[in-house]
Amino acid sequence: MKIAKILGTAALVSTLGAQAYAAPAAKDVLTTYADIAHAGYEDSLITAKALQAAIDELVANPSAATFDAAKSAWLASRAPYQQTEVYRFGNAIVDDWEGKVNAWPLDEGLIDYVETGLYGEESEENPAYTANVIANPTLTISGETIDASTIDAALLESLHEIDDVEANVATGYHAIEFLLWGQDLHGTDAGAGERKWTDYAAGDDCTNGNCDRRGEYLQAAADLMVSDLEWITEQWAEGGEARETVLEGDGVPGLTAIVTGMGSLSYGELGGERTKLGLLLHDPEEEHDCFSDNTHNSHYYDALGIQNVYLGRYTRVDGSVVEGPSLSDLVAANDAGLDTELRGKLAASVVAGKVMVTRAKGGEAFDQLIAMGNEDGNAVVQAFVDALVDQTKSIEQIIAAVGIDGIEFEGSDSLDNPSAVN
Amino acid sequence: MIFKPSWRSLLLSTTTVLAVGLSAPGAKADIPDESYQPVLAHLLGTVMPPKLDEFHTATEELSEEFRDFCSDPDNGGLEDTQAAYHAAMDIWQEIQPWRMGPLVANGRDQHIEYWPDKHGTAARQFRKLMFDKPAAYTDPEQLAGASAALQGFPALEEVLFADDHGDQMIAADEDGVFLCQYGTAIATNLGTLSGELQAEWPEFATAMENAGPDSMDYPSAKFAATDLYRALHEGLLIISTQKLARPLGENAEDARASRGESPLAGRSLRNIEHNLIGLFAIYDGTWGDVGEEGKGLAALIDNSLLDRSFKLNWQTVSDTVADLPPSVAEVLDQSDGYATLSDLKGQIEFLTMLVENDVGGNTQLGGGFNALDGD
Repeated sequence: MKIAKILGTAALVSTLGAQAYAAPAAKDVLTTYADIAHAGYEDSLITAKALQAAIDELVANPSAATFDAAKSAWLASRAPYQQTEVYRFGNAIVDDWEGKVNAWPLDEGLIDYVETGLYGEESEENPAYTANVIANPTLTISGETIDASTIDAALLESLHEIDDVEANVATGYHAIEFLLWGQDLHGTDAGAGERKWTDYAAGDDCTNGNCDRRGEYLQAAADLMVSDLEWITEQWAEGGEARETVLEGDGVPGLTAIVTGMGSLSYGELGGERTKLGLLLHDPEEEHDCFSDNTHNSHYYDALGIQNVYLGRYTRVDGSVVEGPSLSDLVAANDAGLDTELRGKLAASVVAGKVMVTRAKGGEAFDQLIAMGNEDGNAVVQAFVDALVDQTKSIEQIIAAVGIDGIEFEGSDSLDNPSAVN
Repeated sequence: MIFKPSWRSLLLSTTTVLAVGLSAPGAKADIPDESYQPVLAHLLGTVMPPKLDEFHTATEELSEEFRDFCSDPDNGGLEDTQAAYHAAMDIWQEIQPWRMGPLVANGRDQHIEYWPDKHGTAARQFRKLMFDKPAAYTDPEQLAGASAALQGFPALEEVLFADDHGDQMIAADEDGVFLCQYGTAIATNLGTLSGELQAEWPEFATAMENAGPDSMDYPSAKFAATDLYRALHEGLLIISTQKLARPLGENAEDARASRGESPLAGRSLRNIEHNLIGLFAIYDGTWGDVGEEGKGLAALIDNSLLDRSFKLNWQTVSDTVADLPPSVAEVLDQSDGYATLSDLKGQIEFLTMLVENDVGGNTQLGGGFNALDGD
């Protein structure tokens, strides 16, 4: 679990409710925040169930059409889910859970066949690097024999992050993505993974072997993802633990969660690990949706999710809107200039993300944009990073603007209470 | 039998002794924004520039050594080049934690040293590089546009210290010739990067010193000084959570020196020793023979006992590192090596806690997001 520590150990001075202008109550802002979370996870669940149904159809009736339908369902499922990622940092219950559904990057050789010329045969860090569950009913990982004859949710859960290797991702969106697209062998040239529908075909039409087990894996992964999304949706419903946690107290912890989520996703995660790193390394292995070349959309929806929670407004997959008193309203009541500035910066990062989407629709996906020598493409990605970094600076100023910092000397544990540091 | 106190008892006894007589402080008034300005001016305008000059000189010398070595490769030339690498790396490790402005702009720090390499990118890209041997990678200008994992100190370490590479360069076989040209390009590019850093720093320092309502980037001196506090805090976090935690692993059986920083050059702990020198400068205002004691963040702390306590604790940790061999592998080879490194990690975590509570609280600079927030 990684939650940014934005308050240090200083005392929190709650000035909430003491604003000069009509500001929403913190509880109302947090209620909107929880409502959007619930709607976002519920939309993720709805689209995951559609994916599950499409996968069931693919396995029952394998064809190019059912295969494409499953891929389309996967792409559709990413839009609402990515908008919920802003809830991950700042809400421990989400951060502890999210690895089940969106862990990344993965050593895909754990799951299925890979092109070893590109991927390699082994990894010093990962004994399960090429375990290939689909091809092997019995696995031996770090000396332990695992019965993989039945591929079901329990097996996948037992394999997920096996040997404490985070890259052993057996479940979630990216495992399913790999099973639908396969490895992207195009490097930084045009093209995504080119898995054929015949990898799920019956009898002699089956390509690359073990089509039945591949189908079982895909179905088990979809079933598991649906149940995981059902669980997190419940946590944000009335009476759910996540909702109760953000609403408890005087509002300061809840507002802290919002700001932490916005800042941490903007800076360290999306701006840094998922975007800047790929640009620094010019390496397609560093793109988030690397099999499907859907990274532009994932990044765009992440940025949109950050904007959603600040403005207190989310457009659901059915077109309806969830909205209410927002952090923006609260900031504006205390510092209208900061609110205007941050609204502008959040809009700028969404637009920068949209530019990547437009480039991808024009035939230049994220892995091409980050290619060595593609100066124009690199600049497009860098502009997205810059926008995220820029908005982080303003997000940090929210802390003082809404009175949740109160960075006030409270004494020093190391001097006042040495026993406390043992 | 000589009683050897643990680091914890040493640090806590120092803290406790100095705490005697202190009354619990009450709430402090806000530090005026103008109080931050002299700290910014001293650290960014006086202390850092000579160190950037030193770094640039060291990388130029490294580049020169590499060219000399490759013109007529022999063991002596290889050793001289390795020594020049260590000299440049020493000053880089002192500068590395000052993650702000031109140091991080356009990922410059990552181009100088891409580490940690969590996904094994460097090894994968290097394998492909040696297979293809593209000419672009022997041209410093083209190399500057390549993957960060294939330029900078870790790439140079691979060329200079990995098994067989030195022999291949001396033998001047096909791989050796390419490695020599590639290594020279890396060293030359490092000289370019350090020169850019040196050239861009004054403008950044001036902007920070002139922080205020008219500044787009730094609306107050306090806001600007937060970058210094954050560098100090994040620098310590990186030492404990990456530079030490990675090689230590989950337990003694899982420990692996190869996961440390600069393992081939055998200097993972030497890096930390130099990190602490650069980090202490942020607090104290002195960096070797540059600067003036008490003009760093310490100038904002109106509590001499706390200041003395902090400095004594820091000195204890610095002495601990200095007494260790430079390489994690050497320490792990000792019977109590794992415990020794675990203790050091604990000491660094203790310093981090002091920075959060004492420095962050007294300077009113704590908080903010950092680059470690992602996965």
